[in-house]
Amino acid sequence: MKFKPGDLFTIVIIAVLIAAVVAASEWVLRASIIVLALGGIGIVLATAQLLIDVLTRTSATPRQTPKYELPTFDQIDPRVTLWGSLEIWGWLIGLVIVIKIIGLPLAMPLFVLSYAKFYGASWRLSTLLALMIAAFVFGVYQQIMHVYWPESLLGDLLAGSL
Amino acid sequence: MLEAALQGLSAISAPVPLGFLVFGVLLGLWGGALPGVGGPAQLAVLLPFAMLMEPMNAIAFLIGVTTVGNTGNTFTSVLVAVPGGSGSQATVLDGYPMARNGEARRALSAAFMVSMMGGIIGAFVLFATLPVMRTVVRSFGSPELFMFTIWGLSMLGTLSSGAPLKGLTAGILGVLLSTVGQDVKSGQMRFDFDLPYLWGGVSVVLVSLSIFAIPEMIALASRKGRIAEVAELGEGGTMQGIRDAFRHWWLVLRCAAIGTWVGVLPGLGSDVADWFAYAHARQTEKNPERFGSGDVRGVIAPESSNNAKEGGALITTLAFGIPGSTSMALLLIAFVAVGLNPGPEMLAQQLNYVYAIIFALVVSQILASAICWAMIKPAAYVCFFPFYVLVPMIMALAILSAFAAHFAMEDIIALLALSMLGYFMKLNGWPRAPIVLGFVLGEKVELYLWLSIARYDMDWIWRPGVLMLFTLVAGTLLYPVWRRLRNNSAPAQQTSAR
Repeated sequence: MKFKPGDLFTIVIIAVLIAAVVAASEWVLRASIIVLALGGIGIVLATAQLLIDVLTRTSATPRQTPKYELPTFDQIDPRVTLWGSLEIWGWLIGLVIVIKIIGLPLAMPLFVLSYAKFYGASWRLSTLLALMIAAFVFGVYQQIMHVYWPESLLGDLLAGSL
Repeated sequence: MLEAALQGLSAISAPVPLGFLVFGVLLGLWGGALPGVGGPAQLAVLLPFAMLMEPMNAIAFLIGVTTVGNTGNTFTSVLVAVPGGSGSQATVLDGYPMARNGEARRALSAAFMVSMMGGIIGAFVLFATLPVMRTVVRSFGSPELFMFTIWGLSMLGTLSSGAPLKGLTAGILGVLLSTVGQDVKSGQMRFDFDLPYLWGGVSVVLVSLSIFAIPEMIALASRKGRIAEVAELGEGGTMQGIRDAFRHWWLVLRCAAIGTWVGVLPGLGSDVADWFAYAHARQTEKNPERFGSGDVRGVIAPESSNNAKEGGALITTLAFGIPGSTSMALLLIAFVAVGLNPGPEMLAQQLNYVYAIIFALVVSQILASAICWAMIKPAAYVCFFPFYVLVPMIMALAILSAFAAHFAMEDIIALLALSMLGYFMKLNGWPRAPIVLGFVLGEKVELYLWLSIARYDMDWIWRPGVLMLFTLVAGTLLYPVWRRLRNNSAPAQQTSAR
């Protein structure tokens, strides 16, 4: 019997399924039947998976990679994966914050420019990439689709000062 | 009839309609290649212009725009694991590993060849069956559609071989995800967390981007390399892809038939044809263990079905005036606006227009594939771009595509939240295809089951179509077991013979 950090994900899935079934139990039957039926089956399946993983795993058991699936992170050093993943998640969360502050049309080219430059692209290439995204945002979304952009702090500030 | 066909052909091949057809194909390919821009959104933007055209020009332009998106979106599915549209999700499963193995040109070439073949097969079926299809389609009620969706769900096991419990659980998660929002049967809000954004449910584009595209880009950003793991772009891959398409002609034919049939059935949705075809190929082809690691058959199957679907979808749109999808509904509106009368009347009085549509469909498929072939080599170099070029560009496009779902900030937050799920599934070896298939079919399973019971009580079970489809489901589930038993018994017999 051996517990691995990856089993935490299965536990989270079981918890989500239990929460879904509990929430559905308060709905009218017509709306809840599929959630109750499938959610219940899902809890049983996920619990069985967890028990199989924990009870049959020994320290010599290699990690199982499912077939018919895109390549996993197996071939990469876990420390590299962890840091690399944390970095990119940091960039994405930062992007959401910047979108909220300066607005989506400005944030997207800024994100492309700063990411490319930070990881080694030349100024010329970074600027070119940022201009391509800016052209796409303003050309397609603004001019053709006439998109109403979500509110931003900068936009509110400018609107307030006018 | 022959006269009408000739009239249609000569009208659509005149310089002006042909010019509009080429323009429409270019726009359709462009929309298909950019995630979130093509499909109904693009058609909605172009509709006001098309409504002002002459009928034949409008037919040429709209057929060009509507029917080639699935050819264009193969580029992103194969090269960067971003499904450009709902019809190319399954292509990612083998197309992207092929790109990583340095076989992007082969994958793209095979995909474009079978897209063209599938599209022409769909057009031929439209041509041949239009007069008789009315009776066949009318025999398909909600019970049969329910069984069709159950057939789709029975393929979950196929997509999760190697981790069946995880695959089935992922499929169930997908179905539960599809229940988010207001239940149309009872008005009950489900999993909405008091957020108005969730009342309309989650967009399928958002789900496929977050389950496939973002986790792949996170992986690329983590290893700080390139998509292709080999140094060279395989020379001669384009010709090999074409040979692959002809070598697997029987698979192409079967998957095109699946695609056409899915297109014919209104309400089944355009986003299931590729999954059905992929799972069918995986179940019936030899050496299925190669699927998922870059097998060209995994590209051929979905790509031959998603274009064949267009011919099937046009059957119900033209013969009954019943649109099977949002794009077909918009097409129908435009046709009516320019003076056509889709429905039985059109088959009787405007047959020349019907044949013009069929010819436009064939020409647009050939044209789209030719244009895409010309772009294979430069496009395939994307696999060799460094991560600092691809990651921000693809991430930005994915975020903009997700934003196009409702044009709300919540789209981006939902994308990142679901990407977290996709990322952890990838990290922990959970198969991700079942969650998308479960999501795509979930809403339909529930709706058609409820409609069947409401209309027929439990008598729907005994309808001939239901029993036939039940046999198909049982066959789908039992065939792999039978094949495994046969394979196991063969070596045993050889051993005993020695």
